[in-house]
Amino acid sequence: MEREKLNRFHIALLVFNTQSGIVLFTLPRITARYFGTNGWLVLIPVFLLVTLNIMLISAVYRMGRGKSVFDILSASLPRFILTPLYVFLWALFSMIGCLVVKQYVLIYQMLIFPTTSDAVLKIFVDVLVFLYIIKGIYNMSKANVIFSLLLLLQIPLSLFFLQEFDLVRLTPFLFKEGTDMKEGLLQLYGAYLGYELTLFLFPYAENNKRWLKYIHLGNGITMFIYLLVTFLSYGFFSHRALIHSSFPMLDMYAYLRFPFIERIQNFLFSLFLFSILHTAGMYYWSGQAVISQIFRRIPWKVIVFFSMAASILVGLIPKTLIQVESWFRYFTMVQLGFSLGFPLLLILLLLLQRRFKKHA
Amino acid sequence: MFSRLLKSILTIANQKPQQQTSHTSEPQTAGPLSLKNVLDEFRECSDLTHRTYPVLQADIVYFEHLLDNHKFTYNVVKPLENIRREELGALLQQSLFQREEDPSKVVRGILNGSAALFLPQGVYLVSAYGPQMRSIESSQTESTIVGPHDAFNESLDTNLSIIRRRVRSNRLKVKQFEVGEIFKTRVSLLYISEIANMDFVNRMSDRIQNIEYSAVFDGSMLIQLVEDFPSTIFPLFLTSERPDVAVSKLNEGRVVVIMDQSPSVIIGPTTVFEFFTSPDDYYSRWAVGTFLRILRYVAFVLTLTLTSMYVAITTYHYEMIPQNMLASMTESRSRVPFPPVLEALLMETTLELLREAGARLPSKIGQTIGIVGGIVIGTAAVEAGFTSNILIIAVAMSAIASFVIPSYTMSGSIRIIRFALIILSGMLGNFGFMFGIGLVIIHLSKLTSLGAPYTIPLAPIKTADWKDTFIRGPFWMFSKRPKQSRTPNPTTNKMKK
Repeated sequence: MEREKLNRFHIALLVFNTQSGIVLFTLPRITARYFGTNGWLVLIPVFLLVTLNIMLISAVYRMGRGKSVFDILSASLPRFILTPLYVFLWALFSMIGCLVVKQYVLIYQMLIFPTTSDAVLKIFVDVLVFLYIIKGIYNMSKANVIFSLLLLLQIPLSLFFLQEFDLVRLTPFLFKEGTDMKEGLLQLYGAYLGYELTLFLFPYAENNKRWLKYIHLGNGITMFIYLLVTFLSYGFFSHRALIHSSFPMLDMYAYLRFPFIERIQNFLFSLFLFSILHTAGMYYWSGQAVISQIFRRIPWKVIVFFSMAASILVGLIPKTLIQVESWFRYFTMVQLGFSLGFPLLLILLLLLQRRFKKHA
Repeated sequence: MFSRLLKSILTIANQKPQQQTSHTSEPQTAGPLSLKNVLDEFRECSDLTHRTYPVLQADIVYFEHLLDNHKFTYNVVKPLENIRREELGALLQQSLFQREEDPSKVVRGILNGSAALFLPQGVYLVSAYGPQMRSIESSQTESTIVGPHDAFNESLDTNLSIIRRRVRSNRLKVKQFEVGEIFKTRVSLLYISEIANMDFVNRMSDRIQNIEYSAVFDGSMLIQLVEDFPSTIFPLFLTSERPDVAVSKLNEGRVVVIMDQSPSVIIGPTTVFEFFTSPDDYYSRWAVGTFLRILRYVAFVLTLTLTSMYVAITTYHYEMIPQNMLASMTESRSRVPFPPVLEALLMETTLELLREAGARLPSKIGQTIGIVGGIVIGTAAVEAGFTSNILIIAVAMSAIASFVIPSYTMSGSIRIIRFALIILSGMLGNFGFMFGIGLVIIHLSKLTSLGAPYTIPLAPIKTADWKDTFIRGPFWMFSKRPKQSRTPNPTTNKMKK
């Protein structure tokens, strides 16, 4: 039977769930700290920038007529350039995958299980991530539909905050009392990262170009969720209160009360395990996809295992949340460079290939 | 010396395949077709009947208990008693009498419920199969309030007739197989041509033909020999004792397998959501059907999560309990000497014991079990300080919720997951709970039934099918067959020529 192609809508949810994650909990604070009053509005221009970046990825697909990025690269670049590039990308993706889990686990330990070792929690998540990836991208996309729906089910909870929401807290000022806007932009752009991994989905997507629009849809869902959370937080807390709150969304959740249950922030934070699982899974999977180009004979599941083992070992170095976040900052910057530079490189190579073909 | 050894090894090697074939294929009879050889094959089978008609020089060999007495008397015994020798040739011309020359086929025919007639002219088989069977009764396991009440029984022929009576179309096709190396149980595969996808039909046929097992006793056993993932805890084929369910699935483009000696038919491909549907949904008004279906999903969530959430909250997350409930909860818990996970496992195990005991006992004693379990153990356990009131409520609610799920096999799978979730919640609270749910979702997403996704229409998303999955929409909305069937005729009321 023919291999199943990834459903378009699944790709949208793949993009959405890779993008959103822990950052959702800190996003209102980041916008308030770096952009000040009504900082949530900055999410829109950043979204537009990301849209442009996604258009670059679409251009690669269109120009290459659906060819895999590895085929494009190997058609023009020699092996001695490609091998270090692949190793570099593998290390980058695997480390991001590892740090996503580590950050989540450290926050979880800090908030809920202060006496439990983070290593114990991390082992559980890593096992889950491993089991998730070895099912293959098609089954990952199916599981992710359920994960995403479980996460999106939280949207109606926002209705409960409307009572406490006050437009006065938004203030009529725009971007006052902000600090380092450049750093803020970097962090906000970093919050949208995850869409660039669609570069590796080319061989698994439908053969027509329609699925490319669904990357934008995924990005749109992310923006909607980000806007909803930050906007609500601004109206719920005010921007000054947001600066002093480590995880504004969790604080907001803490106000929720139901007849049988209350203070469900811990439960909802646990639910975000599914987001972390997918984000880490996608980065590890992409790392595997890249390094498999070098080690073609080794089964891909073995590669996943060793990639995870290696990154987990390196991930043991940062001990505290602050250290992990500073590592993250560097990796995010490199990843940003990748998401802009890699499609540009591929477009350049495709143009050169086209020119050579004409001359030939 | 060495040459002798080599020779003996070679003879053993040559004998081996012969032994295997005699084990796996038709019964091999030694020698030519004769009454003596056939009787030799059935030596020590004291239930075999052998009658002789000296005037006609005829012998009849058969198993009386496999035959329909009426058919046998009127088709075989009476004609042979009243016929003259010269007229015998004309009688044997009837299509009822099938000439056989292969001794193994004669043996197989006798085993299949034919009478073997040995005459000087040759050997003839007369089919008069019709053993005593349970009559058509209503189903004990899948009872409904409205709708038809007839259910399948253990006879393949009766079951086929029940389906043929409903599907009065020549498009209903039946493929016949035999399963079990020794028992050779008859299996029929049913599908409606031009509605069922032939990929599923062929896949199922191949799997049935490739079964290598000495004996298969029931449809549920057959499922485990043909399913895509034998190690999963989820049922990958739907089973039903109800003909209306089987027929409705045939109409959706599914494949139905009926096995002789089994009252439940196998339906595939199936989805995890089909285990939460009941024929009642379709016989009630659509709003009522929708309500019932949503109720079952709520029951599913409750049965899966209630006890494990109790364990997670009372072990790690006391802050989640509202203040007005906290006092009664802590008071109730304060007298219990065990950690919540142990307390919950104790109660859940007791409940499972009661359930299992109730299932195996005659119904009159079963009621006593209910009283002993419900009143004596339940009340006494709380009074003795073995368990808290709240846990009793949680366990009882999750038990009631589990009874709401129409499929017994799915209910069994959920019970196992529930135990795993309780242990995980006891270990790591909400985190452990989510870990367990994550594992189940990842596992579910990889499962397929006859190669079709098990979690469709949720993943892959097929929103068009949601109206008959999460709700039971009105019939005018059901113009398309489910996507999972991959049918060549997706529209229900129009058939392509």
